[in-house]
This record gives sequence, C-alpha cells and structure tokens, in this order.
Amino acid sequence: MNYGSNKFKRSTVKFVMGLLGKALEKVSTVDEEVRNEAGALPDGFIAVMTILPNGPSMRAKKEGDHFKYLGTSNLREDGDLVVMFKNLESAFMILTGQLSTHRAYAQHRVSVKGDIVKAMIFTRCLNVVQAYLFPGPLANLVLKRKLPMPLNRQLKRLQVFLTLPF
Amino acid sequence: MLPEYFEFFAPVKIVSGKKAVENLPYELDQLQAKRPFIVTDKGIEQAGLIDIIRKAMDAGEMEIGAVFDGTPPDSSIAVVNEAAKIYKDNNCDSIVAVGGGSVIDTAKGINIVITEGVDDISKLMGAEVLKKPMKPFIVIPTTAGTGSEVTLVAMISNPEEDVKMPFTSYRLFPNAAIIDPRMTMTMPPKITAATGMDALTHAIEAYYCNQKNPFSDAYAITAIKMISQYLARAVKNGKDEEARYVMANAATIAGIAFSNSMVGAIHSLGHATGGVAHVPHGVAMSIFLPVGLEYNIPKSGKYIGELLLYFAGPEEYAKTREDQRPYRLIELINKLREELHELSGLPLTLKEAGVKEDQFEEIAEHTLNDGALMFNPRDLNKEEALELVKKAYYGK
Repeated sequence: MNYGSNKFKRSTVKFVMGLLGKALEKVSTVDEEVRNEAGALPDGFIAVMTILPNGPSMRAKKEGDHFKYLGTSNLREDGDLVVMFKNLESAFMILTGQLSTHRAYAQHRVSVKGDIVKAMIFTRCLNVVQAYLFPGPLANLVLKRKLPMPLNRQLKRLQVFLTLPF
Repeated sequence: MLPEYFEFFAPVKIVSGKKAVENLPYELDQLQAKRPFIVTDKGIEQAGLIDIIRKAMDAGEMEIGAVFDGTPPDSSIAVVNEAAKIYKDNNCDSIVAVGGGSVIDTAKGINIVITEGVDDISKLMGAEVLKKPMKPFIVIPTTAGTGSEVTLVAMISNPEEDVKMPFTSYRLFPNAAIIDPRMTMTMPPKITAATGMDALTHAIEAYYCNQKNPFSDAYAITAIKMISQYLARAVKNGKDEEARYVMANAATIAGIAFSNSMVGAIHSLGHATGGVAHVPHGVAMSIFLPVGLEYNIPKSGKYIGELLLYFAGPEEYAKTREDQRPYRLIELINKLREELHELSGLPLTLKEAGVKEDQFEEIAEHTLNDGALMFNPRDLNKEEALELVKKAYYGK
C-alpha cells in the first residue's frame, strides 16, 4: 500500500478545495452571473464539498448576494447541500482537472445530498469559478461550454487572481 | 467504444406475461409481506383493474390492508403524506402500486415516509439521502411509458413552488414489476400514445446522453425497435393484445435503459413544462423529442444517427447518407407523431397542449435547474432553452 501517495493526494485535494472556496467567494463578489445565481439561494445556505468516508471538506455559506468561504477541515462535514466525492482518487481526478464535473456526475463519482435545484445552481456557480481559475485550454476540457471572457471579465479575473492569496 | 467508467444496476424482478397478476400473492409472500397497501387512482379503480388485483389476492388467500385511490395526475407532497397516514392506520406491511407514473411515484414517496419515519417527505429530498431498507414494494404498471417500475427515481410535485422534486436512491427500486397485458388494455388512445412517446424518449436519450454504456445501449436499442413497430398499432386498436404486451415490456426495458443512463435536456424541458404549465409528461416528451434531438446533433449526431437503424430498419439506414441519418430519424419521429396525432389527438405543439406564451420564461428557468440537464451532451443556457420552448410551441 502506498500511503505516501494518499497523503500527497489528500493534501492536494484539500489545497484545491480551499482554492476553489476562496475563488468562489472572490468571484461571487465581482461576477454578475454568479451573483445572480447565488441570489436564488436562501441566506445562510451552507454548501459543502467533502470526500468520503471522512473528509477533508470545504464549506461555503451564502451571505447576501455572494458566497463566504468558511474554510477547509480534515473531517467529513455536513450542510444544506453536500457534494460528496465517493473516494479520494475520484476527488483527485476531478479537482486536478483530469475529469470534468459533468463527466464525474455521469460516472457516478460524485453523490449529492440536498435539493437538486440548489445543486444545479451551485454547480453553475462553480463552473464560472473554474473558468476564472483555469487557463483556457484546461477550462475547455473541464467545462461543457467555454465561458465568454470579454475584457471586463478578464479584468475581474485579474482582480480575483491578485486578491486570491489574501 | 466503451466509456472509461460506468455502472449498471437492474435489481427489479420482472414478472411478465399472460395472467402475471395472479402471481402477486406469491411475490408478496416471497418478500414476507402479508398486508399490502394498494396505491392507485380513481380511473384505474373505475376501469375495474383493482378487481383483477382483488381476485388474485383472494385466490392467493392474502388480505389487502387498504386501498388508496386518491392519487392525482401529478403526485404531490400532500398526497404522499396523506396516503402514508392511511398506511399506518391500517397496519399495512408492504406497498403495491397499480397505475401509471404518478401512482408509482406516490407509492415510492409513501415508502420513503413510512420507512424513514418522518411526517413530511420534503425533509428527505435529494440523491442518496435514504439509508434504511424500504418496505416490500411491488409495481403493476397500467400504462406503458414511465418505466418507474424499474427506476430508482420518484418525481413528486411541490405545487407551492411549481417544481417537480426528484428523490433518488438505490433503495427506491421496487422488488418486482408485474407486467400483465390485461392491465394496459383499458388505456385510452391518447394516453397510450403519450406514454409510448415517453418510453421512446427514455430509450433515445439513454442511448446518446452522457451516461451511455454498453448495457444501457442494449436495453435502449431493444426498446426503440419494439416501440417503433408497435406503438401506433396499440394506439389504433387498444384491444390488440400483442401490441399492448410488447409496449408494456418495451416501456419497462426503456426504464432499465434510462435508469442506468440518465436522460437529458428533453426531459429537463418536459419536467419544467409539467411543473409550470401542467402539460402531461408523455405529451411534453412527444413535443420536445424532435426539438431536443436536433439541438444535440452537433455533439451527439453520430449516436443519434445510429438510432435510425433500430427505429426504421436496415434498408432505411443503408440508403441514408451517414451525415443525414440523425435528420432522417427526426423526420420519421415527426411522421410517427403526426400519425399518433391523427389517431388519438396527441398534441404536436406546446400551443396545442395549452401552454401560454407568458410561461416561456419560467419554463426556460426551471429547465436549467433540472438535474437531468447535467447528463445532456450539449450545454444549454437560458436563451437556448427559451429558443427550444418557442420551437416546441410554434412547431417550427
């Protein structure tokens, strides 16, 4: 058994989930599309990404018209909507861009607890976040559709990148 | 050729054929059930179909716990909660659904409420939330369309929000489906046509959407062949026992296909139209099928084209140029729809189905929030959904 490899993968997925969470907060404050989507979720709504059986997890909360990143943990967390990666390997493939979200769902690698309507809204928000984060060719592989990136969105993207470490 | 990963699960025992209903007491006994709760609707009771069940239960010396015939055309949270109370009051220990999609989904909902011990089903919405083993559950379909007798999904309306809520869990699979041609013989032509088109849509979407796999393909192809040959026959003459029998099985086979390769945008549009404008699901499927197929040609034209072979036969397939096959399939599906329209009055457009123009926006919005959209090969945004709704409304 290669525990070293698992440790590396756990650290990687936790790091990427944290990055996604932070980016979700930043993008939802600047991007109108994500703000509109977030607006349809109830205030205080908690979305969780977790890896079965026991974490790590990432939590985000809807506040006003945007998301607030609540951090990552090494545990399995609960929320109003829980996106569960069925195992570490699946999480690693999805979070490192080797497997797109829609393919992951098609391949049963992800299970969802909660209202499906809200899951669809959250997924669309994450799609935009991924389009902000990933370079064009990778985003094209991961997403079903290329997100339009006019100049004002490019500037917002730059703003997200500059503020992401903080 | 093969997807890099797939899953396939078809755990429902199929009991199919002449006098199959007489096996109901035996199947219940196998599940150690003694007092089944029969879930049905008034139309089915009036058509005398519950009498067939009563006779079979009498012959099998088994008592019926209670009969609930209050299922409306659109199963709702309130009905599920009300029926679950009757189940408890009558000390039932199992559920038998006798009906179409709404009845079967209501029965699944009752099973959730009883098993999980909650008073309100909306607390358990979502995928894979259910953890406890369900009560014994047998389905006897009286329509040939929904496939719900072999699926892990229950769609239950939330009238307050005009949406259909999906409940999905491997625990929702019935233990057995009893397919008896007697049970679909009384179905009126229009419902035969609509439910048949629903089954066809299940099989077609299962074949080209993102979860397609070699097992689901085999089921989808078989169902498409059977439906293309027998649907119009069953609509034309409801007493045609062979056509009824083939269609009842085809619907179940298509159900297995889409239970393992989830449907896509056509169903999302249909669910949204059902939720907002109360268009019966089969009618919506028939209207959106050609529209949704055309939309998906840029991404899945190859698979859609392959279906021409199974829908129209080898001669038609061979004489049609490869790049024209998806379009030819759509033409032939439209021809079938027109035939069904003439035979039964099945609406060809959303306009004929009673949808209003001021409902377009809401239908498009709800379409985007339907879970099936995740499995559609081509992405769909609100503007595109709106275009498809308009196309389905005006018929061009």
